[in-house]
Amino acid sequence: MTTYLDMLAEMGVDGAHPGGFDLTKNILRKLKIDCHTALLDVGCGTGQTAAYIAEQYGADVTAIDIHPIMLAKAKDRFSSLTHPVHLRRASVEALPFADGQFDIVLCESVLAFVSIPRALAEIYRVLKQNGVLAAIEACHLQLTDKEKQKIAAFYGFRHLLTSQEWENELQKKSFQHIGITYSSASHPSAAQTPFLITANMSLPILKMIETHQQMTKQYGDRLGYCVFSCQK
Amino acid sequence: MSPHWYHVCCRYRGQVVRIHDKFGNVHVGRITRVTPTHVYIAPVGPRNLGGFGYAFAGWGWGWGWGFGIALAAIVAIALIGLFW
Repeated sequence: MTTYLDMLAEMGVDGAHPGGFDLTKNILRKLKIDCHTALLDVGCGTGQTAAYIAEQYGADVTAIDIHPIMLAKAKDRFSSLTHPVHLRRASVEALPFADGQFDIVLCESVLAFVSIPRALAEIYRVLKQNGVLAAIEACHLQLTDKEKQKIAAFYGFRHLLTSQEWENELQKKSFQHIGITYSSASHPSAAQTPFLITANMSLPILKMIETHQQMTKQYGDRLGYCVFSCQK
Repeated sequence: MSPHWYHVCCRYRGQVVRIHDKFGNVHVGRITRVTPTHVYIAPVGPRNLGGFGYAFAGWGWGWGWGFGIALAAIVAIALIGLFW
């Protein structure tokens, strides 16, 4: 069965998260990254963000993903970089890294698809003391349980939380200095990711793109994303 | 007739798209009409391009449905959207 993540992988969408790459760059500018920063990009996808950080900031970047097509695309992208990116196949629920290894962990639309308690525990573990978690994640505003179930079933979300619920999850794992902002999917700045429909796309993928567009239109006023940062 | 592109163009009628054809041309505009053989796009102003970053001037669009592109000549259609 084709999943939403399979669709993203087949389409090879860069910046496949709300706000697109422009939002990513805005977040990175606030993170004080330099050549001494050890950064982990969780769920790197095609590797657009990781490559940008390595080239722009000269940081020590490690990127992980679990999808084989995404990993192949990221590997291909990283092969032409001046600054290397360490690419691993790994899940955020079981990070293959030592405790206190990273200054920054970046998650761009990852945590909603996994077990949040397990993922946050792992991220907390691999962060250095005072290290920062920055994330862009799906978030909702007053969706009913039935609506949440429908949306979660299509996208494969394990959790669909409000910004308050995200904050509670972060607090439970002892993260500090939590800052969260919510944006609606129907806000013009949210739709900035270009994608390409090609002649060889399969019908299931095309149908999935259609359903995705319908969902965004139908629930965009109450379904959106939150950007948050917090510190260990 | 190209059933694939006919279906796609019908689905995205009214939206701003960027159409790549097999001659290397790139056409940007809002889909106004779809026939079994052609898709018609109308120009849009720079403020309505939704991030595609194209400007239009002096293309001689005239009136009516806009500029027609043969479905059989299409190789790809680019859109913008929000992904999770």
